[in-house]
Amino acid sequence: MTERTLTPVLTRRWAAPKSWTIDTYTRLDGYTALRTALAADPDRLIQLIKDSGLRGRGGAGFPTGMKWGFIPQAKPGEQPTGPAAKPTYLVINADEGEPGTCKDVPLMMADPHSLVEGCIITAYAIRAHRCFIYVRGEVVHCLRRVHNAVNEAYAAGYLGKNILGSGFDLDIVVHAGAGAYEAGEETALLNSLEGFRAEPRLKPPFPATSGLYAAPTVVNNVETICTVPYIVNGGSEWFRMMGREKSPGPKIYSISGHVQRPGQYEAPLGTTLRELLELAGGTKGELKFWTPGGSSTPLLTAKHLDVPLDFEGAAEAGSMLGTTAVMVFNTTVSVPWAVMKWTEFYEHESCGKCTPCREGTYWLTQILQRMVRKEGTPSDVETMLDVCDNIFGRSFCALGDGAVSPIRSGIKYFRQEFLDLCAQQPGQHKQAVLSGSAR
Amino acid sequence: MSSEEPLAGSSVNSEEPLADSSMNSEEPLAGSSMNSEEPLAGSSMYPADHDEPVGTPAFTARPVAAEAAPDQAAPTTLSTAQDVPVERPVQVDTGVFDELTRQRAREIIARYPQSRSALLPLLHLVQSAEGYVSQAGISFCAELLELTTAEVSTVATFYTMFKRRPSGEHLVSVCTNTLCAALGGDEIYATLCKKLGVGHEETAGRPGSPGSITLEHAECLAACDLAPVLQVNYEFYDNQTPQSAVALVEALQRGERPAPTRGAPLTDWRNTELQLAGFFGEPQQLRDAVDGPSAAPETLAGNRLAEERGWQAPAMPDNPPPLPTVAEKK
Ligand SMILES: Cc1cc2nc3c(=O)[nH]c(=O)nc-3n(C[C@H](O)[C@H](O)[C@H](O)COP(=O)(O)O)c2cc1C
Ligand code: SF4
Ligand code: FES
Repeated sequence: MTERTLTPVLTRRWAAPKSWTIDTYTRLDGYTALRTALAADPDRLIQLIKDSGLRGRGGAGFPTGMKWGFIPQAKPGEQPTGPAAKPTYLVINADEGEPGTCKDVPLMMADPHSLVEGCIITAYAIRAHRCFIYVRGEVVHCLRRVHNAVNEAYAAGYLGKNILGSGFDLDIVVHAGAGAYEAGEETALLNSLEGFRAEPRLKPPFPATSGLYAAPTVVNNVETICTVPYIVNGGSEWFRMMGREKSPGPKIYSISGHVQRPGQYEAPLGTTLRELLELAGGTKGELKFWTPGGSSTPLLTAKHLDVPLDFEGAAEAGSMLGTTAVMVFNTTVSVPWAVMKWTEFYEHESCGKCTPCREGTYWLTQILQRMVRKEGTPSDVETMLDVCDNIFGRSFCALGDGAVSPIRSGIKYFRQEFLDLCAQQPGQHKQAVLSGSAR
Repeated sequence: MSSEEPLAGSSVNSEEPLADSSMNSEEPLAGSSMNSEEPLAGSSMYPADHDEPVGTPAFTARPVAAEAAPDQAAPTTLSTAQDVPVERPVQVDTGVFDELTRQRAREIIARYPQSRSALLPLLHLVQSAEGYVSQAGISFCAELLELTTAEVSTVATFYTMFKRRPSGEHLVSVCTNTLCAALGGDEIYATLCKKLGVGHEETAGRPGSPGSITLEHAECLAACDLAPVLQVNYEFYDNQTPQSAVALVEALQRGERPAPTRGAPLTDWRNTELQLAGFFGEPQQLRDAVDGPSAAPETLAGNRLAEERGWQAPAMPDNPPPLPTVAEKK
């Protein structure tokens, strides 16, 4: 595709009246992919997803088909042993909490049946008979819609025993979280689902062999799974007509902040910020900094307007695609203030299991708060970078790595702004720098 | 509990280094309110009863259950080991949980292959019954799941949504994460603090009484395109201003229940907690609630634009293409 436009696939039904009901869903081709899938060899479904090049939409971009292929399966005719002898679980990560990220919640609210259908097809492919959808607790309306969709699917015979006469059984349990960003990390999510604190587990063993209840488990993001039925219906070639070679497919870009028309824009992977801003009616004020995919992805600036926003493009620009949560900030917002706010978030959400992250985020917050109060010194900048070096790559899970992203990138592009804060006399211009609230 | 001026500056938190971890506010080293295994985290993760700061305006009364249950200082391992034997038989009366609640608890447990998975929903259930996670609630979960109260407490204290003190009829959560804050969320939170005369996780009015409101600042609520947002009982009120937020809490205090921008007709926080435990009422009730609005203009921005401009994704083949054969292996 040369001309980049919007490609509504996952968002296509959203504007339909009562888009969340099974009637609307089936009227608009819903549950057709399921019939195709249930008639197929599960291994060929896994191959289809591998061929499509679908990569996880939860932030890390891991190839979905490969993840499914890691689930140990008994060889035909042989007695299963080891992990293959245990039940397999499918767990949906609907804990959306990465700052800036707001795609899974509207997706589940508007089109919960696409998630349910995706779950059934995925479970069939990986031979799971139990699926858990772990929904973030604070979004009760979303929980309601998913719960209702599951009920409707049971009533229609898409869930339960012998689905559509295929002999395949599946039960889905909708589970509400209780407020912890870290519960979005896949192994912490499994701990949380088992009734423990949301602290991550050491990997390996990976969830594919030792996940929920130490049994083989696939953990996938909501948007990833919602994409599956379309690939079954359209095929991998169709899917690859959108996006780029290594990052194919459509993606929901969530544009927020200082733009004229914030919202959800589904476009092929590889769309640039310049193009997205055009779609969103341009910025409000002058663009200063932005994130390609949430606060854990390093900040970019106006220099990066033409970076293709796919997994490779964002990485080449020194950031990450993350969750395609495009937060746009104009020149009224102080970078040290924004970085401080994000760091307070990581400090609050650090699970406390490992020292670099627990202590590091705490002290970084202290330093940043001091700087924003204009009580910092120029050496604080170096101290922070030093602390970041001690967190990055040395933390138990990726939250620690994410926590240093705003700081490192903020200093990289806006070092002078941090230093200027130190130069000022205490109390001077306090309002201007602290506010960040000028709209 | 943040005793400092809630209104200093427009960014409330910046004046209060520890505003976030209100539980630890006396312990500069505790780092994070989640570190309850840390020896430094203080003598109790349940400051509700005996640690209650004098002069907190929020708590004028406590429910009987809390009174009757001398706080067992939530045995969180190391930190409490010296004062309270962790496994001392708990003399907490769980009789406050009626038969219906017990029936629901059994239903929750039956959903899972392993009973312990029921713990989070059970704690939501406890909150729906008691308005917070009481000592009785901890014991109730422990009994049902055959866990120690320490095992339950350590989980209950980890998650933000589990409240350790009796909450108001409504819970108002203002997003003050960066994006919302920059667009006015900090100002909204500061305005509500002043208006209600309370700080983070404090309650204006007698907890549980009609019109009482617990206020909190929240992390990103996954609605950044609708910033600044707030929630009442976890239902969304989008695109707020300090004025609209004040009008909203005034209405709540008068006993009104203004409809959320996205969500079901408002009930109260305890009812929402019941839904979080997985109980949505009669099927018809669930259907009605489900139909509460959701698609904000922002949600549909891309969808509408595509329609306007006639943009579509590439057309799919008429029939699903044959599935690929499996590559080598096996
Ligand atoms: C701190 C942290 C929070 C995360 N939160 C989420 C989340 O809310 N939703 C999500 O899908 N993935 C989240 N992830 C990524 C998951 O660990 C995991 O990669 C993902 O769920 C896998 O699904 P996918 O392959 O479909 O993307 C988080 C990771 C970390 C380190
Ligand atoms: S990096 Fe360490 S302390 Fe931070 S969330 Fe992960 S495990 Fe917990
Ligand atoms: S920052 Fe407020 S909802 Fe995301």
